[in-house]
Amino acid sequence: MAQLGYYGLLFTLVIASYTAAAAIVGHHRSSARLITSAQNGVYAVFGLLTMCSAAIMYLFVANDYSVKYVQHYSDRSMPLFYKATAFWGGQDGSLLFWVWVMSIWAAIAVYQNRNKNREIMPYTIVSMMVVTLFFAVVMIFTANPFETYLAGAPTDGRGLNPLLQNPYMVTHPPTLYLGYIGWTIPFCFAVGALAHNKLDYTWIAAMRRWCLVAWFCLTVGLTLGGLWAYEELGWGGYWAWDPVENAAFIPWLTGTAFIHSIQVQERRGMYKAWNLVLIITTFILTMIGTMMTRSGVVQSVHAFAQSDIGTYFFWFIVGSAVVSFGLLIYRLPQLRPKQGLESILSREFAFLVNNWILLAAAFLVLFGTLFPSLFKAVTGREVNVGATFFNTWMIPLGLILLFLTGVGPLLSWRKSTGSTIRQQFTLPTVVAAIVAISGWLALDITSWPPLTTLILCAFVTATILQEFWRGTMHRMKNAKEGAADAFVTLMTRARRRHGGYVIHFGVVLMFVGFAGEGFKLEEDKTLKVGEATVIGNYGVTLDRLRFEDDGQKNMITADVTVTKAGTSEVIGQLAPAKWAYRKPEDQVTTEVAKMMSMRDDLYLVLGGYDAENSLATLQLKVNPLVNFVWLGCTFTMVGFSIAVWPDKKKARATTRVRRFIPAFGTILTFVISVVAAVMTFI
Amino acid sequence: MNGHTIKIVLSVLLILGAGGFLLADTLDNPDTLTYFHGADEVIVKPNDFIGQRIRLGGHVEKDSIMQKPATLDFQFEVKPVNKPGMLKHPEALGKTITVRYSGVVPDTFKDDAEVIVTGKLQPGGELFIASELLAKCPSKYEAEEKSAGEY
Repeated sequence: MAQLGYYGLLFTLVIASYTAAAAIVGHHRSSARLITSAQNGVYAVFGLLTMCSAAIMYLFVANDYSVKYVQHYSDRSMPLFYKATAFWGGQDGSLLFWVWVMSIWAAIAVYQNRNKNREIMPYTIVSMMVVTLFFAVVMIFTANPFETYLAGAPTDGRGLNPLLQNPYMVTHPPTLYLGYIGWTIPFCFAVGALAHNKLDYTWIAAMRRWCLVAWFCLTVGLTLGGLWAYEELGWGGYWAWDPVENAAFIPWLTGTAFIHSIQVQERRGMYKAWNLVLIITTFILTMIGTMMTRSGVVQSVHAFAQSDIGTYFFWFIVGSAVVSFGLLIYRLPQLRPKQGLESILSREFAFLVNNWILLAAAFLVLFGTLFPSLFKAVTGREVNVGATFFNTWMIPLGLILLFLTGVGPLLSWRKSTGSTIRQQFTLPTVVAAIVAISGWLALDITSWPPLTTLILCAFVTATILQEFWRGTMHRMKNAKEGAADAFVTLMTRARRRHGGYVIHFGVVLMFVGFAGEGFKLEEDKTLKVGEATVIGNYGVTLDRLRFEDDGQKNMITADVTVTKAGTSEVIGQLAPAKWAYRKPEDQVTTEVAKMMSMRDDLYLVLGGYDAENSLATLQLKVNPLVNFVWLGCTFTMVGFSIAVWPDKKKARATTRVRRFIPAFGTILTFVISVVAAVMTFI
Repeated sequence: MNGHTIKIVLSVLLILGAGGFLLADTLDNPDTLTYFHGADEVIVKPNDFIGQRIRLGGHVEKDSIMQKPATLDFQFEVKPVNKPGMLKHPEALGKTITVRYSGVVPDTFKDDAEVIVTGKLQPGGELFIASELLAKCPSKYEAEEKSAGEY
């Protein structure tokens, strides 16, 4: 089976090369036959890589420890579920996972466009195959997931790190990869368009939905990572500005900039060259991120082992950048804007500022993440960039961006008149002022970011509600529809726009969650059994210390009763614990206990214990508003399902079944988001 | 160069200049940028580091972790990492630095774990008071496994 997998990789190398060659030759000779052959090549690569992925999963499930990768990340006592997901638990397998997802996306893109966009598809296929080839080469030559022990295979594995044995291991890496790799497809379309010199809106229309999907997956993937850290790791936070976190976040920033600025190209034929710069940069950043995570270039709690894989990635990144930017420069004459910026009070300008902010943020995070490596290369000294650096910069940038989220949709294209400004901005500004004054009076604010965040959140929410309200009213008056009808038609007629508003609202909610960080409480306390302590609005009493064993691990639990502070009204029970696993040896995990509400989370960690004296040392935290972060993400999921819904116009041209597929995808996403919301909050 | 281009160039320069200045200012702050030193460097030349906020890296000495009962106060010994690229002062092998830390420790914190502690070396050069503690497990997943089982 391992041999089969390895040969699958070798064949992928061959077929992908052929496909790229067929696409190039077919394009230049205008040979439809060769192009079709190339398309089939893409499907074949997908088939081969699916086979390789199935092979590796089989090896895990069949406990085949003659394969090194399986032996490192699995053991006989692991639940079946985690054996399958150990596929992406280590370096080599995660590369295979990466390229498998790539092949899925590529096959879908080719299928979608099998009768369309004939001019740009050939070189789009070429770029997709080049990326696939790169990963195949890396795996075959330095990171073979199918490598076996030549002599004396161990009978059992080392086991997957227990920190990775939880449901998040199933959802976070795949979602993140889907998003990360999702940005490769738009990039390939860009290269296709550049190569063929078809630089109008065609390539953007072809990949617009891909961008949404990639953005969505990346957003959810990042949030899941944060949720995982929050629920499982026990340090009480969800984002640490760790290099691997940053690696995924930086392309998210430039990708968000891209999604917004392509709308300007759609409406006014502007920012053509800029959009190409953005998507090429986003792709390069995803590659840099992938390199950072794997090459040992940066120190991180997430990082895979150090290896020389970094060199491969480095040259691939340099090569891709040279080729794509080179093509862009070559085509610069064709990228003249159709129109120019007419006014600062225009939506185009708001999008431009949005882009500047997002790019500044991306640059800063990249700088902070790479600085230690650069510093070491130049001076030989080691240095660490702390979270303070990132927070100092990202907070003001984030707040400006939040402000723009409200302002942008209210400005008109080209130029907003004075009366439009008055009409659009009056209500939200009043709302913001009210929140500002009441916040100032009611809350005990010592630092400005939390209050400013909440004021801006109120402002943006007011703008969004105003848009929905006015839109519905307008329809009711003009189309003489009832309120409910008008609302639904509003959403279906302008899906992108209203889906976008819902996504914005989700982001606003996440900012509300971020604002809560400013009011956090934390305390370490040692309690005797029966003793109580108070933190914030909660009273915590230690009832008993429990010691249990289930064969796989030793469990030490502190049973705690939570009451309303100052009263004996019981709110609930919590059981923070520490689990000591037998295999891998002495691996200890912290089992966090939390009590959730929209107002805040009571978050308890068992820091230490003294069995003889019946003492437990607890770390108590109160995290206000943190659940708004997860709730906000759920709203972005809902908004995404609305925005990505297929347009009615196009639907008429296809069969009922084909219309059903994107709609089904949307419904599925909606259902998943509801389920996710329910599961998070239970 | 017309007026329009001059305006663009000037604004870009202004933005870059302001940004660069702010960046340099932030990095100057020891809270944002902390230098890292191996335990061997600090053992050999303690006077260079007394009173400065630094990151200290090494391995936890076996059987050296002590916890004050009923608290989260820890004291342990840190010894230099004995890996070819990382050991700058071989004469420091065998010696340790005493580290004190208060707070919840990561689950990976145990004998032989690779740790990075952030804090200050106290006058006297023998005690390091740490405000942050990071630990990596005695690695099973690192590249050193490449050499084992080779053919």
